[in-house]
Amino acid sequence: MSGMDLDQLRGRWQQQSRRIDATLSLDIERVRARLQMRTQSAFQRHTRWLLLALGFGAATLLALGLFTFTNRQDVAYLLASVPLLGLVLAEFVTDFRQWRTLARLDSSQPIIEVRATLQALRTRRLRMVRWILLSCVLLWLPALAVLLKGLFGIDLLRGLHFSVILANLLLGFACIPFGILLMRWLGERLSGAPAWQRMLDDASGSSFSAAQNHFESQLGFEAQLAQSPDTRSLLEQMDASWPAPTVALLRSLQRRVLASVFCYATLILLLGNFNVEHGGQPQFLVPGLLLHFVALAQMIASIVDRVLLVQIGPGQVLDVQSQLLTLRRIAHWRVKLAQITIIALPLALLAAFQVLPEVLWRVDWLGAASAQLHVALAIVTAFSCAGLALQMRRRPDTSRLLDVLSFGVLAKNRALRQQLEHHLRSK
Amino acid sequence: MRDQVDFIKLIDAHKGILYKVANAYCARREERGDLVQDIIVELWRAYPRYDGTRAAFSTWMYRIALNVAISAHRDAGRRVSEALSLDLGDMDFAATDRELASGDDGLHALQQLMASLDDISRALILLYLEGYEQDEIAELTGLSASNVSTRLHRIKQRLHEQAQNGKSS
Repeated sequence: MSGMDLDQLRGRWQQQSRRIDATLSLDIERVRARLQMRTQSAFQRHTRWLLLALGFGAATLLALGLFTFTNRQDVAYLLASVPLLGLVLAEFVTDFRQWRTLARLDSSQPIIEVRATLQALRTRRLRMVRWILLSCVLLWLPALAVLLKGLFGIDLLRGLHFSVILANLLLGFACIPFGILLMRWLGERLSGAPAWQRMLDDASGSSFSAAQNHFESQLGFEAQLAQSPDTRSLLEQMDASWPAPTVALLRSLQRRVLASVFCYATLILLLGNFNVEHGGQPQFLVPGLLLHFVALAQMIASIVDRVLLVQIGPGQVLDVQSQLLTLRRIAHWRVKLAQITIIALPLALLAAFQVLPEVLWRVDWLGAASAQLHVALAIVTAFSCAGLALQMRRRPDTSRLLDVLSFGVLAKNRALRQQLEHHLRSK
Repeated sequence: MRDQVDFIKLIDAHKGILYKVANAYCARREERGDLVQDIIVELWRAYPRYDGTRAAFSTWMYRIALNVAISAHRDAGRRVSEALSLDLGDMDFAATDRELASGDDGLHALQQLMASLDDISRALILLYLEGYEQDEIAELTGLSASNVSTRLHRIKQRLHEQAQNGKSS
């Protein structure tokens, strides 16, 4: 084999590189999608930490509340534990509000609004950290006393001389205004310094800061795209025009979702009527209510899909990539609901076999059956549900059945996404 | 202070670097696509700190691209899939792959050799093939000039041995 000298190959490599360069194209949409995905993942990670913090906070609140109640006759410990309870409660409320806000954060809102929401969360967190820092001198002794009394029964407050406690209180109160002034001065002097920013990032929660940084990257990238005339015109072209078959598929999906809403609404009305007629008859009411809830869950899913699908289409505010994300999100939750329905199918079928004969022929076949048959049916149903649950874990994507349970919405959603992705690639 | 230059245009002008680095570190096409996007995202995040007076954009881009590729290659076993991962289909590397496949035996052997090298050596040989001199490679990778020289010499030897084995078989 000739030509294996690296220096000789270098020249041929560079020639090939130039030919390869001519075949390449940069896909901006995938970069945007990747930035969006990173932001979402970062916020999901932060949310998990928040839940952990909420759990810990709830446990601490419970313990402190119990301590306060137990020692309500002891003024010294009451005065020690009440401010601690207040602080822990404030921290818990801050975490809870942050968790709730992030859970409700709508990525389809204007980016500036999302940014303002995130900034407000960061400010609230920093404010909480500031108050913890300001009150730590005042509250460290009460915290230690409560901990020792609560865990080990040691009465620290009575063991210390009153002057020690008084000095600590006075120092603690004095530190608060001093601390406020110091923080204000440091903020003014160091506001641009990277070390100060890093400290603030750590104080507001490193996972939240990481998520916010990802978001800012995404925001900056979107701004860069908006400024660049070439990419802007390319994106506008892609967004404004959809091929006619894709539009037709979207309309078909919207009609299918609407049809499912009406079908389930009708079923709910009929089942509601059945349940009212059979009030006081548990052998009919229980299966009737079960079927009612199943139909209600399906209808709610269809209504939510209908609302989300309003954002989908050519010329919408959302760009194509965000619309694809929405479609995927719709499919994801539809699949989850269908999987739960599959697992509950044996139970639902049993309920239907009790309700339908009563509706059609006024026959209560379960009431006429023996106790052994009831037990046998219960066991078979339980095992079937368990088996299906196992099946769903092993093979979550049993497409045909999921499609049927979703009223065909999943199949149309999948087809629409494929057409949109093909449309994106062809641009 | 550097001028405000359109990031997208710069990346587009040097997009060959993205794909060459991705090709050097990923065998599968879908992994290449993912790595390219990861590199672009990291370039974007690092862009505010880019100083055009200290290094050419291509050099800066190579440094970041190789760092991302090496990290991704090392973390490949530990990577956790993203929630609700986007299935956007494969990027169109077909044309690129056809061009690579149409290369001569020497280039194919070189590709095979690169695939068998460790992460750092792949970076060295890629930069060398792209026309960087040893001192530039040393600065880019953070290795000493003598280390770069030794590693490149070893790679040349391996290539020569591979050629000899090919001739004798």
